Amino acid sequence: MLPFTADVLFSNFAQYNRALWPLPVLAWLLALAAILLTLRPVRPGDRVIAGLLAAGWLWTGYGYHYLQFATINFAAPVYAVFFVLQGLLLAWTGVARRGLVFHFHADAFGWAGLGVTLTATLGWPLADLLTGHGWESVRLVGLAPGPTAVFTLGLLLLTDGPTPLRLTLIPLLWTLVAGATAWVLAIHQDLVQPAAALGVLGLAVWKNRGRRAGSSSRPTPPDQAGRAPASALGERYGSASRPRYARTRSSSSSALKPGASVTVPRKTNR
Amino acid sequence: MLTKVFPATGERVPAIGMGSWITFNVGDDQELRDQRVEVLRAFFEKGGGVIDSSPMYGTSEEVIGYCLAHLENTGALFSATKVWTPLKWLGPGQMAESRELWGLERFDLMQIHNMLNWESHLETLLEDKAEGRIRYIGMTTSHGRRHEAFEKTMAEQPLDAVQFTYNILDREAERRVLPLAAERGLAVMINRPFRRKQLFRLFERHPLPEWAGEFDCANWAEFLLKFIVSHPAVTCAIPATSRVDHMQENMGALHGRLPDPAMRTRMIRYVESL
Repeated sequence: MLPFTADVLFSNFAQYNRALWPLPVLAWLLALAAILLTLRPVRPGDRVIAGLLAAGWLWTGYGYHYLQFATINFAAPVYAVFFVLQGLLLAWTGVARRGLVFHFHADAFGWAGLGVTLTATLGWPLADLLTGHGWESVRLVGLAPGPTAVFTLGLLLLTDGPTPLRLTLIPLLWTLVAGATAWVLAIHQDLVQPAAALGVLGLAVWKNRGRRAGSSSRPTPPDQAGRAPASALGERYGSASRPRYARTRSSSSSALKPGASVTVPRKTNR
Repeated sequence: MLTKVFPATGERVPAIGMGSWITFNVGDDQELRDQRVEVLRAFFEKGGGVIDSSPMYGTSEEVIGYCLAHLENTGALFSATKVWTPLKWLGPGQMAESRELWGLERFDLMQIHNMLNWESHLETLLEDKAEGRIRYIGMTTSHGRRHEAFEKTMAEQPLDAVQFTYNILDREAERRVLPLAAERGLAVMINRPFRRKQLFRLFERHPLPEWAGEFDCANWAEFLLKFIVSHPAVTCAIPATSRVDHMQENMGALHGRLPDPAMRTRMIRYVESL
């Protein structure tokens, strides 16, 4: 029971992008920067990525759903509540608690996560253009709900250690809503959303089970007490970090054994 | 031109009106708004009068107001909208906003949308009617939902009009609701006359029967609409469209003869055989 057509939906996006211009360009560049940060991690990178994700969800909830989409869809204020909630969850988990560590690894999960984030960032606007919609109405990560949800799922698959499944719930629900909308309005490219989301969820569960069974080669993220294996820190920040870390520890204790867990101060951890 | 009586006052209205679900919810898109002006121009030029909307329909009321402000031939307008909120105290504000969006001082018909909190809103509407802010009070349902509760309300409450779904394939209303409306002297507005385009998808690849000419029917839109408005209890059908050519086809049902009961039975048999 949708009160609008596909043409009106894309017209609504065009008005929204025009009103925000040049913010769409900035949002797109920030999304690419977030992907780069997973490939070349730097120390504040995880909080930056989490902050960008949180900001994207908060803005999409308020700016898109509540202010823009609600003009043509009576259900949009409800969507806005869920998007703001997801933004707050991401801000709490990834920024306040520093509980998210984003790092691309060249394994199945890493490539899948990278592919999903690139699809959301580059593929989505390209698909909109190729299906006959003007560049003004393209949907971008951080501003439009679909790419924001899929981008988030991709990044969550790139997290070190278990993917926090609670953070995938709202994005997954949104992709189901969006998939139903796409089906009714015959926006065929959007049917990819629920398929991609369910794929990511399946991979995340697989990855998490692997973690529990100890079969994953991925480094363990810092826990709440700030514990992390030395290999995690060395791998994450590259060879330049490893000697400094090793020197610090070896100055007051015996030599570090590869893969052994050690206690590190939270500050230096992340 | 085919007009029908609004039983509460004896006022006559054109038997084909216009709904606005989806079709007039075009947001701020100037091109689409201007195109809808042309749709509404065709509506009035072909003898239309009843326009139905709701606050639930996004920007439809605002766009209708835009169209009315850009047309001169709107004297036949019979304005119908709805109150749609679960809270009684929000109703008056919502209806005032609707008046503002349409650019009207009062509505001809104010309906309680899908029976939502109807007990509370009915109190408000009775006051509004007494004070001249509305002329008629109505209640709506669609998809055949809540027909039992709907019938009870029709039978017991001081309504002037009801709106529900009825078309050549969805004829449940013939059993009880339509006879009850006739018995109670209620005007009847019919939504979803084409089952949201589905009837066209089902039938339009088939030719119209030759005997459709016996009631001056030139296309499937007229066939389907004439079936509806030929029911004696029906006051008005409110098809929605965003196209001028479709509007012209719809309004064609206002002219020529109507099918009699025997022909209506034949029409049903024909479409069920397709």
